[in-house]
Amino acid sequence: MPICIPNSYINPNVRTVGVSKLRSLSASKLRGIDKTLVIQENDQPLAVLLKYEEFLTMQKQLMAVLETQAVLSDKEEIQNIVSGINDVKSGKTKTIDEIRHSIGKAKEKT
Amino acid sequence: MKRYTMELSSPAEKMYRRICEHARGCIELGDASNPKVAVLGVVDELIDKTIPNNPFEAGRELSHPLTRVFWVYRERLHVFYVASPKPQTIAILSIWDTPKNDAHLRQADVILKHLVLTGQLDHVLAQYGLRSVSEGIRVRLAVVH
Repeated sequence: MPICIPNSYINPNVRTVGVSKLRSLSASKLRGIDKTLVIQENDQPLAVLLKYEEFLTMQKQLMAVLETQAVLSDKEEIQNIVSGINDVKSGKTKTIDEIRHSIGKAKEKT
Repeated sequence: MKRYTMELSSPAEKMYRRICEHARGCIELGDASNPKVAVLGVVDELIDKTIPNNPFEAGRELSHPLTRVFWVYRERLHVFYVASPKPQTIAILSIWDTPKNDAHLRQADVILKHLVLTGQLDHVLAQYGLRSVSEGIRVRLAVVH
């Protein structure tokens, strides 16, 4: 199955540009970029240039998906989380200070 | 920074107590540098500092079907929590100590690949008193990656 590259026809926030566009990019122009650039040569996409904040957002979303997948694939852990949610709903939770006190781990408040 | 009351559900409490017991055992044996003591320090820092500092930040929330469950992690420790119905209260659902996370597996994969491709694997194995990997295996590993 071919890989679908999002382009300006599908996503208005994506713009396809030639490699030569890279040479014209300065720091100030990069700061002002409002679209994701797909850089291509001879109609072949080579790289993607996007705002750093958008890259971080994508990374965080990817991490969240991987973490969720890791939790869902561990029966014991998902049971712990469900049991924890039930405790919260029924008010069966203890403060960290109570727990530390009961195990003699007096913790100075920071 | 807003002040939050940190509460633990029973699974989180059970795990926290276990971590405390392990750390205390090491300290009583005079082994304060044991990693189990460090684990307790990490959990305490996550509960006392990391989570209360902007707990519901975008990017800390799990995906469907676990939306509204937030998480932070440090090394192998993952702490899952939600906003409690009580005001200014965070409820920790679970403390998960696992090396089985996908990200860790990939990291291990990246480290191994780097060691193989830079020829450092034999040196690392020797440091642990292990025999060098044969040339044939090394080549096959490099091909795999």
